[in-house]
Amino acid sequence: MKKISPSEVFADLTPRQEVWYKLRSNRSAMMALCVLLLLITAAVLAPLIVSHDPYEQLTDTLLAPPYPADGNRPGFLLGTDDLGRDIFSRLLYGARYSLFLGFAIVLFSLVSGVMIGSIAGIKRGLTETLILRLMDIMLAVPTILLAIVIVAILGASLVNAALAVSVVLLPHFVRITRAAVISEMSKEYVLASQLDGSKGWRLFFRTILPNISAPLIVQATLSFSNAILDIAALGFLGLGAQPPIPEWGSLLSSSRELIEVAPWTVTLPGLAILITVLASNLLGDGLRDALDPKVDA
Amino acid sequence: MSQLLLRRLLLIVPGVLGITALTFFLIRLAPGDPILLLAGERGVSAERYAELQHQFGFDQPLFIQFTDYLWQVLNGDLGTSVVTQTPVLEEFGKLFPATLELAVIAMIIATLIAIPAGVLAAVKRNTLIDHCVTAISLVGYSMPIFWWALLLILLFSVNLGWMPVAGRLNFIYDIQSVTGFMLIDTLLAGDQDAFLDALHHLVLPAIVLATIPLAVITRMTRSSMLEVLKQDYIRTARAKGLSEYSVIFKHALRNALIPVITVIGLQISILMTGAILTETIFSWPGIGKWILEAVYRRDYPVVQGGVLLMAGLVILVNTTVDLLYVVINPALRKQK
Repeated sequence: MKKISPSEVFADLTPRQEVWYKLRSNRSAMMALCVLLLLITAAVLAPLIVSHDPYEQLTDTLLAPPYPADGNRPGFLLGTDDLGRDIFSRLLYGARYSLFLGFAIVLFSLVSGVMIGSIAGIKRGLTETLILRLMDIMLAVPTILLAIVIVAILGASLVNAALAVSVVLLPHFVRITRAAVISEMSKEYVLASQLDGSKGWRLFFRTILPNISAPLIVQATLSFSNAILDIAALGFLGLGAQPPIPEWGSLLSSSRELIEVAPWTVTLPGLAILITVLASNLLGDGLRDALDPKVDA
Repeated sequence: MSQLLLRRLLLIVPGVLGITALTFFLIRLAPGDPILLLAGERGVSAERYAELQHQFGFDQPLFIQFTDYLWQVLNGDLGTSVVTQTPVLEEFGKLFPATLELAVIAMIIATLIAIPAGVLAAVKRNTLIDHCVTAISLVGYSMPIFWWALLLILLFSVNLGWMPVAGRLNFIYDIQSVTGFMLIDTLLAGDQDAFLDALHHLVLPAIVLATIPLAVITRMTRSSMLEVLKQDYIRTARAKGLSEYSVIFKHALRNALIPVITVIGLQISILMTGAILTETIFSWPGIGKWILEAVYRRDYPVVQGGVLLMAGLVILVNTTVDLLYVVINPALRKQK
């Protein structure tokens, strides 16, 4: 029987179809994708799903345990916190903060990282050296520490924490873009486009950017999980979202002293963070395998 | 090779200079007048204000202030804590052994588990063992460690009562600080109970701090081993009739370890990030908790000096790892 090489199988597929085909055959990545889509849908539809207002304090149901445990109140699937607020609604509303901020942070880092990185890659020379040195310096400061310093200066709030995290994630995008731009610039299709009269940003956006998107997509997915982790860590340290905002990290920090009396107020928000981060890491790994041409061989 | 080493060493200079500039200018961006902040509620008279401004050099242009600060840093003066009035460097020196002790124990735990686990997963590729190792390391890699710390406290301290919740040593023991490393100090004092108590205090924070490096090193060992096992010289070794043990541990592992050692060294940044969270949760008196508390108290000299020292440490360790990489990698050593 004739052996079919992978490149022949994919021969009549467009590159996008090929990536999708490979991703679909990766079971854990597909599971992760489903979990993320479910989370996003639940976060968007949160007001329709929950039966209690996440900020409403019900004084007659303080610290009710989650469903199967004794003393659970009907209607409070995951129990209540020390102020009688429904944990399920708070987690679901928290997902809105975590996921939305995750997207916003990644988008901000991605766009500014691509801008700075492409300037470095196209201009070269002194500009490139200065940009790269600055990025090296930023990478030398441990991520949370840099974010903490930025938040300390700007003041503790969710927006400032998000800004700090996007600054922290920036250097990776800059370095990836620069390296990719430099390797693409020497290729013939770029030269052809240049001969065609294309130059400057137009050359970059129309010709080069579509060809360097693969590593950027992978980095964006992995940065999404880092963004969620870092935002939660800052919230936990009291430097991000402030109460009563139900952001997952600040939920953890406010329930820390309840660990003995109401352990579910500690376990549930952390589990939400872990599931989201795990899913986006799995999807990132899957995307890397699907987009990396080396994997066929 | 010596030229390569020299060039790499010289690169430390712009790095440290850059960190100094970054922290200096970032702190200057902070809102609020530092002198009014120092004076607190009582306020300060106009003459005293001008006098203080002159004393701290705030009346100088920013660039002059920076070069002055740089000169101070070069002379080993990182300023004085506004809160405790102790030199920043002295406080760092007192607290650093606690962080170092925690980080070293964490790295020992991580390496001792990760390398065998990674090798096992690679050798038993696509078996149940491999899938378990890969899955666990992925979970570890995604773990919010501040939550992981709370879970361990919940299980081992609150429910089982096996481990203490916070600190380095029970206050009933009075141990003289010689090295600053509690495990060594208690041994030097010859107090066995205190040593065991110190060990007890160390277990949970060390596990928490080890989690992410453990996951990263396991993944790296596994993929590096898989790469090496595909090589021709491994086939040659097998063809020579060497035992499987000899093939894996003498031929494959030695080569697979080169990138792994680099990754181990590069964990320093992750360890420092982890130290801030871990030390805060376990009230571990190290530099992570110190810097965070300085942020809460707006003790800017400590924040500035602390960040500079921590980042300097990261640069130093990363450079050392780079140099070691050249030394241990025969392929790089040959091209003089």
